[in-house]
Amino acid sequence: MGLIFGWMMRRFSNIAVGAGVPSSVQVIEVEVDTWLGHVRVLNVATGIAVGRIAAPALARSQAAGSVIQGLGYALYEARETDPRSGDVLSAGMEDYRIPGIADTPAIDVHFDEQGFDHVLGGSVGIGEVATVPTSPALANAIRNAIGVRLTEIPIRPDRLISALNKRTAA
Amino acid sequence: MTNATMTAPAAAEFRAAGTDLSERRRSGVSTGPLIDIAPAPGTVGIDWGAGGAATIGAFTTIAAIAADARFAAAYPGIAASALGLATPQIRHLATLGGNLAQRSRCWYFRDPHIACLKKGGSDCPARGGNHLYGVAFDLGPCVAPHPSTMAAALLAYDARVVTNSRRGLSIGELLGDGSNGAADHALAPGEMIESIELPPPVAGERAFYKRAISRSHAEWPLAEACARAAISGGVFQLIRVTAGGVAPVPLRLAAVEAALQGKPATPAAIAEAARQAASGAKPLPMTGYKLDLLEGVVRDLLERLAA
Repeated sequence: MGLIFGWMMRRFSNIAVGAGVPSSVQVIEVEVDTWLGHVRVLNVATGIAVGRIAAPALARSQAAGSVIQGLGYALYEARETDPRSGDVLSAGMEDYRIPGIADTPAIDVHFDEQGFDHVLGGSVGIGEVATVPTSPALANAIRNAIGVRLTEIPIRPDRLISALNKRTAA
Repeated sequence: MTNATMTAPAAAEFRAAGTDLSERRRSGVSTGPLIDIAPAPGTVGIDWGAGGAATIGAFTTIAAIAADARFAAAYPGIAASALGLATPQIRHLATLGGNLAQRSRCWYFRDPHIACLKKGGSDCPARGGNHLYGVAFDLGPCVAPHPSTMAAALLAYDARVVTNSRRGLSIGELLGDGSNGAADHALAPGEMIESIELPPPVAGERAFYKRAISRSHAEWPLAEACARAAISGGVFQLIRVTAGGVAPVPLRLAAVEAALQGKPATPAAIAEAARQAASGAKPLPMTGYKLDLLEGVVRDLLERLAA
């Protein structure tokens, strides 16, 4: 069945089944205000290996957008609900927060295009690959800055303050 | 305008710029009659009286208050508060009167499908529900913080409010003490804010404003404070600190002021005074973090005042 499915994908959709595993890595620099629980992201460097880039400007724009989306996921976005009814309370852009322009850091994007010669078309999708590493990289940067490991996102002021207080009490 | 006010049904709401009201109309939280109000003579702009005292017309926009150089020199805490709230688009439309009379930003109040004290309900759903952005000073049945940044700043300056039927209202008299969970202000039906009167500034005073938020801009404050001080010979001759975002009404942080009045402006004294910011607080299960933020905001302001 797998062979037939693979042949069909290659024959009719120009998609090959095989080992073309995308990879990405991110390094993030942050500034943490331990009085106000505020995280300011200064720089993000992202390296992405998805093979040959067909449209460099478009891919770079998508990668930068993915980083910003990842920062929103890591720092701001939360689906808050009423514990009794389950009603979604953060149902608008006022309460469901995403990054603004002032929250957007300098972003450096690097594509490593080697290693995908065996893949039909020489590349795989960039999609989610660029946004997945942002939240762990950000949490690691905060850990490196203030010595506190945050394991829950979004890393809001209330959670940062709570984690700092637990460290002080310990 | 006067005729419209006199003949308006009690439930009618005034609409100035509508930055708050338009969202409540769209969501269906506000459905009653509206009275569109236009600026009357003397209600736009800043007038200067004897001794350098300012009177701000209620129709003056927040952006105009923030951009007035003479006003920023005389009342820097109010100007900085105006510059620090909302977004540029909102500030260019929103009026000072509307800012003071705006409704709560509580997500239960803003949900048209949920009843609450401010919508004729019998209890506050946030109290036993999700009150992440609720009060840390639990002063009444409603646990939503008052949304007006300008009110906290005006409280620091002992501002007096003039309405179309009363004069000399303090910010406390305008907004109440938090015990009435059904209201965001104590204006009577048909009563409209016309102007804000400020006492003359104190010689040599400085002031700053700061809010704690998760993003860089454009967010309702988790905690905010306005602090003004006159320091002479290294000693606090005047100190006034007010807070917003933490209680049903703006608060004067009397314990902070008492810790510094007549005391040396040293880092140790400031740190100890900032710890008093939480004096009298009654946080909810989810809002204890706001007291840490309030202390941080106050300490930051006091250090800047002493620098």
